[in-house]
Amino acid sequence: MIERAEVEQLYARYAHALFRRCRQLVASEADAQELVQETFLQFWRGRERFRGDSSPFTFLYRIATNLSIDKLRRRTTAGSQVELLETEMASGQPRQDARLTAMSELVWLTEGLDDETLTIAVMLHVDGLTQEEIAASLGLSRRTIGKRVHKFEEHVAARRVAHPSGGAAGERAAAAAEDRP
Amino acid sequence: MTSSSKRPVPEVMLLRYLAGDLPAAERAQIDAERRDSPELAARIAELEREQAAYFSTHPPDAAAHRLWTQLSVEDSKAIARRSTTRWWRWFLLPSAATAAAVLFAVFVVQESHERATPTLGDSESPRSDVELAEAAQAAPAAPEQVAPASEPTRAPAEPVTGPADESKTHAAPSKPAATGAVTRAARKRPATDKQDAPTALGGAEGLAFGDGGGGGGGVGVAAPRGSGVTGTGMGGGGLAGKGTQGFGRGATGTGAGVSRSGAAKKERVVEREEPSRDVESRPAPDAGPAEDARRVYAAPPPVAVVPQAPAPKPAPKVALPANEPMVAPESAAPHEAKSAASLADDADGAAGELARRAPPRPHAELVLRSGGEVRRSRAGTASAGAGDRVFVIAELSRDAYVLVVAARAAGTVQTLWRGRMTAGERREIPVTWPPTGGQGPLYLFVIASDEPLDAAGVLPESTPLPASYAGAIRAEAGSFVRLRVTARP
Repeated sequence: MIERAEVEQLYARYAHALFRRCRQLVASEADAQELVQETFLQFWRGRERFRGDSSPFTFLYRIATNLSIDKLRRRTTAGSQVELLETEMASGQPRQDARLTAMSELVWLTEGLDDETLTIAVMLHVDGLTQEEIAASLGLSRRTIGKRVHKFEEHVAARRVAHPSGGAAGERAAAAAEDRP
Repeated sequence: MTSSSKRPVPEVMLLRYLAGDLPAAERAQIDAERRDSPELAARIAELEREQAAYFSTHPPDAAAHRLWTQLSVEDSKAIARRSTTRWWRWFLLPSAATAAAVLFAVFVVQESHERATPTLGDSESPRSDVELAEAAQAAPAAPEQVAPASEPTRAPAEPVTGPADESKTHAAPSKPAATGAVTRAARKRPATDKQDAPTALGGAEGLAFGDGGGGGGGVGVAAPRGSGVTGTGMGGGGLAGKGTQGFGRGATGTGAGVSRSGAAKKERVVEREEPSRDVESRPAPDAGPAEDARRVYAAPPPVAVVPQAPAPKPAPKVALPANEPMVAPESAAPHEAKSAASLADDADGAAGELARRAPPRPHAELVLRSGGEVRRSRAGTASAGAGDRVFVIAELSRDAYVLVVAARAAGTVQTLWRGRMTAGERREIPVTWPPTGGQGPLYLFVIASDEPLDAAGVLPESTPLPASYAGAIRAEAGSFVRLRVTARP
């Protein structure tokens, strides 16, 4: 069982990395710092689930990613991201901030996905990691990562069919899904 | 690390590198690239500066302190939230237990009531008799309706055929109402107890089913004491299954009532005087509805008391078929008549003769049939509407005159049927419903007597009827109400 002192050590070791992860997704330092705090809170509450099979960083990174996506979704629900995405789609002009575009698309495309698939999709499409790197980071097999990626692509393709103006990320995912034998 | 040297090292890998989270091989690879690539070295240096700035702004100690503080606060909130949102759960178990107890009590009362209304020759007749006595004992008796103990009454100038002590009349003390319990004092008393003699012979005995809006209790039957009259009364009101349903039994000129609330399933039993004691009957004064609901109508003082005959051998039960035709045959069921006759034949000697001479003690049972489905009104009440067909099912174990009367609260008494029935005879008496016009509470009484009776002599028009019984015996369209009267020795 993880003790409080260990959590404090983990914070001193990984807080900055998690802060950058969250800031990259939510584009707000204040929100990112809040998410870091929440990440360690969730880690402490769910410390029984951490069996030490993977690095604590991977565990924390996953929590931070999911919390950040949730934060983005809450923003989307509030309307800010939706308006941004709709404005971009209506104008047909790609936004200068490709990262925000990717985040907006990601939020829109990943509705309904489970946390693990969502984390893998973020690491694949946002962080730019390879499937092998994701497998190594998350402590999963390469085959599992491939299945999750396939699931994500099918999900995106379905979203694209339901909403044809889904954005560039959706187009890429849909194309990847169509290319599959 | 399997990342290609041609693509930039992902940031997350650099962050893990700085955090010392990378495996040794991957760390060595990044170290090599860092030496070879000034660009990567600059990225790493930038990350190190940013990391230092971050921890200077957010020192781990302070962050950890905030973390534990927030954790304790949220845990406290969660506990408070649970305690505030789930406080009602503490009431679940007691409520469930109470509900179960009430349901059980209702079931027990129903069962006892059904046992108290046996059919002719029921093998459990003596037990049912006790049940009836119990119901009579548990019935309410308003203090003003019971003659005080200091005013014993005696049947004036009437021949007393029974023991002298039994001809005495006593006023039993009126006990306060008891809630949630059924008086079982009379349960163990044998049916043939001598204390029953006045009830069986000289007094009026009534079994009344009623639905009183909170008043509870049935209404006893008024029958002249000493005339060998045994009466059964039924009073109804309201909608069956709603409000307060009650049944009661009047004995020896007093009333008995057991009310059961259909909503709260709460029994209320009001103690009353011992049925073995005679009480002077007094016209109930005009009182409020609540008191009227519990009012007991007593018969005039007894004029003759005959010793109680021993109970004969119980005969096999003759159950009333559930799906009997709407119009019953005029003749009695042969097998039932035979059963009753055999009962009478079995009784030999003086005891048998006394049993024959003893007036029948009717039991009332109300059955409502609607749409082919027969359901027994557990509280003894049912509802009938205008134009519905109402039948009184009477079964007697001995020859008697039967009088069926209907009375309203206003005092209007109307004879519905009057005739002679023989032992073992079962008769379905059709009743035009409602028997009397106008509004107001309506009661149905079936009275068995050794001598022909007149309604005026049994229920004088001056008798005030309870006003709290809102409504009459009502039944749904196409259904009929049966007041089943079974006389037993």
